[in-house]
Amino acid sequence: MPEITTKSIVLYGNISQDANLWLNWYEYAVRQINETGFTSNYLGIIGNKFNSGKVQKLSRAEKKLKAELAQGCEISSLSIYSLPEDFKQAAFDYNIYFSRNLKFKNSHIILTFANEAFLKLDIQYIIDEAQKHIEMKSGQIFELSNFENPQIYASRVNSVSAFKTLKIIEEWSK
Amino acid sequence: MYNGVDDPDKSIRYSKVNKSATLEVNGISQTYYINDDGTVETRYYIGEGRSWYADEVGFVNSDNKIMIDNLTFSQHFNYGHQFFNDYGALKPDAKFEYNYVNNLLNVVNRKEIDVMSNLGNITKEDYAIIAQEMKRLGYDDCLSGEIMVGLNIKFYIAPEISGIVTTGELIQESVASIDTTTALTSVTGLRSAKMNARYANNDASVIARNRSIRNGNMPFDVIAPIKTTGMKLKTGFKNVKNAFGNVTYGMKNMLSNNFGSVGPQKKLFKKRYFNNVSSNTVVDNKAWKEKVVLPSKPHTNKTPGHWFASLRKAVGQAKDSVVEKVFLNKSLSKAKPGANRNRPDVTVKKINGMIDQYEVPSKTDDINKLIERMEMNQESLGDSAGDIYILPIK
Repeated sequence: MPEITTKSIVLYGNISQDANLWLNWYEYAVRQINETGFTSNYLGIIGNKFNSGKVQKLSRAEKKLKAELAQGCEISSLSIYSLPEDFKQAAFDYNIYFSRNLKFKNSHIILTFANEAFLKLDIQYIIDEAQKHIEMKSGQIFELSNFENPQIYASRVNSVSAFKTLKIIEEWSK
Repeated sequence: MYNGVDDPDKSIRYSKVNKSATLEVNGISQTYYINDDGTVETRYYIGEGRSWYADEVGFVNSDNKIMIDNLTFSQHFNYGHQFFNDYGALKPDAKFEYNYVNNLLNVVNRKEIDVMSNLGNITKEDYAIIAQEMKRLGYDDCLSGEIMVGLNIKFYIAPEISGIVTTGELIQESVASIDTTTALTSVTGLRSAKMNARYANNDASVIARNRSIRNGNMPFDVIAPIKTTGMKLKTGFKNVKNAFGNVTYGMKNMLSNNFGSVGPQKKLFKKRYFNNVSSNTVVDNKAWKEKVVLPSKPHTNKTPGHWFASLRKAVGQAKDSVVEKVFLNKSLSKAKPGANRNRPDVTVKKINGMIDQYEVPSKTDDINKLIERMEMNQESLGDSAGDIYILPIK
């Protein structure tokens, strides 16, 4: 798998546990990825009814996701991947990756794009749409190698200096 | 504005590091990293937690000696931590000083500003003036510290200029004996630096030639420098193959021996040192192997290359002088008694007690689940928790 540069938009703030809002996020992410010219095809879900820790094909997982949400299932993370057919590791090989993460601290939404995909975007529009799914307090646009994994950076579990290819392009706070 | 949670420096300059030196002064061990541009950085841990920051503290002079700025040394070793709270933000009564170096040799400007209550009271204009001057001098891109207002400013913290004391001179004397031309800069390894200078070469074929290869077999030891020069493995293979023909034997040797005996070559390379370019340290051929704790059998899953990716990382880490022990697929409690029994693919315990975790995701692992698991491990490790990483299967 090649090492590629990705660009990510991450929004930090409060995330609601409301099932409808998770569903809204899912539908937004699928739609937005598809509008970018890629196909959203895999889902990663962490919740009390989703413990596998594996990504699943969207076509198979969507029905269960909706059914569980309707029954009040609690979700802490919902990620939508656009993966190539021959991917080797979902964690590195995606073309686009959207994730909404509810955490004790540093809850966030992250939208990660391979560099070429990012160039075609209307960034302000993307941010405006994404912040409908979080009560945004701050945000950042950054560049990072896919090998260093933007999701790890966004989760703030490491010191910033642990990321050798990190370039912070823009950051803001409310 | 920086939120004061993690690393106030936000430096990313370690990507340029190509050498390092670990010094022990007055019982304090500190590692300095030499950047490509000749500047010298180090990192300081704040309190007992995981917070730390990196800072540029000196430079390599024209005689290839590391020169540590007295002021910087004094601040960080004697006072530095007093000026940060547990989250890396400045304490209210700290004063603020910034300086920059010209031609990496002389401090040409130095200013001091009182921080009235917190970082927010230092105006953007103050930074802008200095930033403009630094840009004029051409140093805007080699300065770190984008803390508060998004400008790249290098800064130091000091209670007062008169706080510069003799300890600063001490470290200069110590460092002055380090010869950086060989890239073998461990203080303890100095003795062997000149002796082994001929091995400190990034060209795999040269390294191999100096090692008097016999029988067309590539010894295990040759693989390490090839892999760690940043060259792709394939390229390294090609070089060695051109020089010696049979390459496959060496790789098989590596896998089957799992860092153990390398047969006839073991004697040949006993006590020889070579430069590990990626980790910038000098290690005894045998010593690094002893750092690696292997599982009873290779950890396998359905993802091809999983075990080898772990192995590759373990070898690289074991050769780093700041690493004390590397555990492959071993319980965290091995690294820190009392920690949980989860088994990261690679666990790296450093000599400062911090423990990093590495996971090789399987084909369909969701990254968030891996992070969640490693975060739980971090909690279990408490103050010893280091960084977490995931590894690609190359």
